[in-house]
Amino acid sequence: MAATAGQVAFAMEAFRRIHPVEFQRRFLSQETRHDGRAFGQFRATQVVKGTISSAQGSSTVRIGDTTVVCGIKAEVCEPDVRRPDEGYLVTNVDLSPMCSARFRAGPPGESAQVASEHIFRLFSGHVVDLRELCIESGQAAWVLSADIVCVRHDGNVLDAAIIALMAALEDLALPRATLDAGAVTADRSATTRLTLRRRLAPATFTLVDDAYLVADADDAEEQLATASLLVVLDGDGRLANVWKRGAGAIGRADIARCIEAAAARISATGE
Amino acid sequence: MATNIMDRRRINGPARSVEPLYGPGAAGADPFAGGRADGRGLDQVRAIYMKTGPLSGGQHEPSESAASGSAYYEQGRVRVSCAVYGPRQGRRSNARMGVFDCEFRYAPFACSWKRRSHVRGADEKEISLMLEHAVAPAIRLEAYPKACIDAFVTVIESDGKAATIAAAINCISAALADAGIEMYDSVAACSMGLRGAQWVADCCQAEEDAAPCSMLIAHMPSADEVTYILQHGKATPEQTDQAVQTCTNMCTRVYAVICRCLQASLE
Amino acid sequence: MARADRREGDQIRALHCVLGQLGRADGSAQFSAGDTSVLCGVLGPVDVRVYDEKLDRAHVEVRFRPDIGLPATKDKWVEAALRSTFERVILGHLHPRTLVQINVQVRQGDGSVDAAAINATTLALVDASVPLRTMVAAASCAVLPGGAVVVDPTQEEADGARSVHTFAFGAGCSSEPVYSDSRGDFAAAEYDACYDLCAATAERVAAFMRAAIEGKVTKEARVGA
Repeated sequence: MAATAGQVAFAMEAFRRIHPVEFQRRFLSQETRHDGRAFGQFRATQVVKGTISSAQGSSTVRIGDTTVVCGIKAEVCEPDVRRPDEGYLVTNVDLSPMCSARFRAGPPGESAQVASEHIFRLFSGHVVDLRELCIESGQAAWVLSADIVCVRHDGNVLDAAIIALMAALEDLALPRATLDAGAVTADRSATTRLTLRRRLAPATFTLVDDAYLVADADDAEEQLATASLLVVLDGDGRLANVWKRGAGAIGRADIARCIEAAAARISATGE
Repeated sequence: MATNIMDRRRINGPARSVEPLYGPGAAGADPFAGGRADGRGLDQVRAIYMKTGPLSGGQHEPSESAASGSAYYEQGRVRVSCAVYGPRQGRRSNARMGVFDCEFRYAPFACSWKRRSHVRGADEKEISLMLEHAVAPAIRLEAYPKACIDAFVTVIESDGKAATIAAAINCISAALADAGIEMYDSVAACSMGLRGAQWVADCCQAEEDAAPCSMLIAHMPSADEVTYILQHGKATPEQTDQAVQTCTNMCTRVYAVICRCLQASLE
Repeated sequence: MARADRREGDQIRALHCVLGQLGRADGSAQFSAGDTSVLCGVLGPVDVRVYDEKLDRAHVEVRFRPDIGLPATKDKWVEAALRSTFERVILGHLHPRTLVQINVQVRQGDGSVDAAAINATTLALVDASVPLRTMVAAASCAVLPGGAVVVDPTQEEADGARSVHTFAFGAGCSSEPVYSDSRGDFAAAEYDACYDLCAATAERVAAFMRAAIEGKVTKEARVGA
């Protein structure tokens, strides 16, 4: 009565589709995950810089199947009257139906808005010194439009977006600009790089089904998530953000463990 | 206009921003001087890379939220990604034929000139319609009554407008095949630009800007039927005839590459 | 250590709350800490749109309006935080196929608005008699450039701070924050210190809220009798 490998695979696929919750629980209760990872294990992360030549700075980041592309376009604007010596960093995350059936076409939904806002708060002024974007005080400044497009969504897009923006900022080659006769002329052959104040590295931990705290959840696990914890550290091991969402219980001891795990992961990846 | 439209659902920059004036560079120079910049022959298409399904070749089953089919297509520096959903419930419940809808978008950083606004431009709507017209004849829509098939295309990088549209058509065809949609044939598309009296295949942006006329043809090689012709600019009727001929031949070559990629994805 | 308003580091601003001041809402509360004031109105359980209907629980909707201008992404962010916090604090399974709508309006923002919004929402939910798992109380603190930790920072203090921390706890449950957001530049030890400070402060805020509710209930009982 031995079932063939094909039959087993089919039964598993059917089980996964019909009872996604129970399917995940079977794995989690056995201290493992449906893709074979341990609870604390992150997916392989791949970062490629300078992938898009039409942008001044760009990167492509893959975390497992999750893929995001970040492109930074540099344009010139008049600075804000209240802050004449500062430029702008504008960060937007785009989650379109191209990356997942969960998102609808049209203006950004709540998750895209929250991600854009969260990344904006993390980066603007903290990572990029906006005064460095000044071309001529009160007259002209750079506006860096960083657009993070999710090409494929398989969970943990916020981590991928933060890594992608960081890499794109490092890749950014800003042409040397001068203001004369009311027009800004830029020289493509002489470029400068931004001095980034901090190098942020994120790690997300997700509480699945109120019981299992896993690192770097994929889409299927995120569907069962009751809480998630984002830890962002910088290169000096100092924290930049600890953000818990959702009402599931992540205790104080767990938060401390997550911070340690995030630090360990960041030192392991040499970032 | 350089006025940026404020949207409360996005992070907004300043109200107005412009591209800086870049100093005298290669602009204005003849891109064909001394052969093509990338050393291609006149009838040569840029190197094609295509992958269907998950971009990184996922080791496990895709989640339910994943598209029915997806493809990533690269032709030189043109990069296009497409996801296909369907057949799923259509908007008109009594339709005897299925409906194929397409949404084409440029990523804000996709073009080498000014950043694109997040507001969907008229050109994007126009291209969406063109893609629908080019690909729909290949789909057996009568096999999907009351259903609709949606394709979402995002251009990650563009290099030549006609070439980008051609890449989008090829990408959608591959994604449709990946989704298992019944088709008569895959649609393969190719673009050309006129240079003097000579047609040049697969123009990049600089070449396209210098060409007086550009031509795009979508073709189903097995059925030997043309599904879409787009001509911009002026050419004599003889030149147009010649272009249709040359371009369909090139489509057949692109088709061979697409088929090989699709076969490889099955193995 | 001197604060601009002469408070001690662990001293919160004067708290004030008014329950049930909105006639049309099922429950409402205004929560003020110094110059920060938030008004929250709760409708529920009420009819739900077919699209949002959940067969096994109530649908929780939050609308957050800023004091000035139309809501933007920063308000959406707070809205999402409030929803994710209260979605499971509300015992939604007791009212399946209904809607609990939480409308939060900032009357005046002078720092620690997130915490005030959470506190106002809890009070309004209690006032609306929506069944809750626990009463949530929030507090925030900031680490100033000198390293001093101050609780319930004003906008000015928060803008100049090295890091700002907001925590929310269920009643008597300081080991598990319901909501936590810390941002800026801080060490793990500072995070711990802020955690302790916010937990202690949240307890005081919770006691204040409890007293306010008890006061209202006894008053109503007296009127009824």
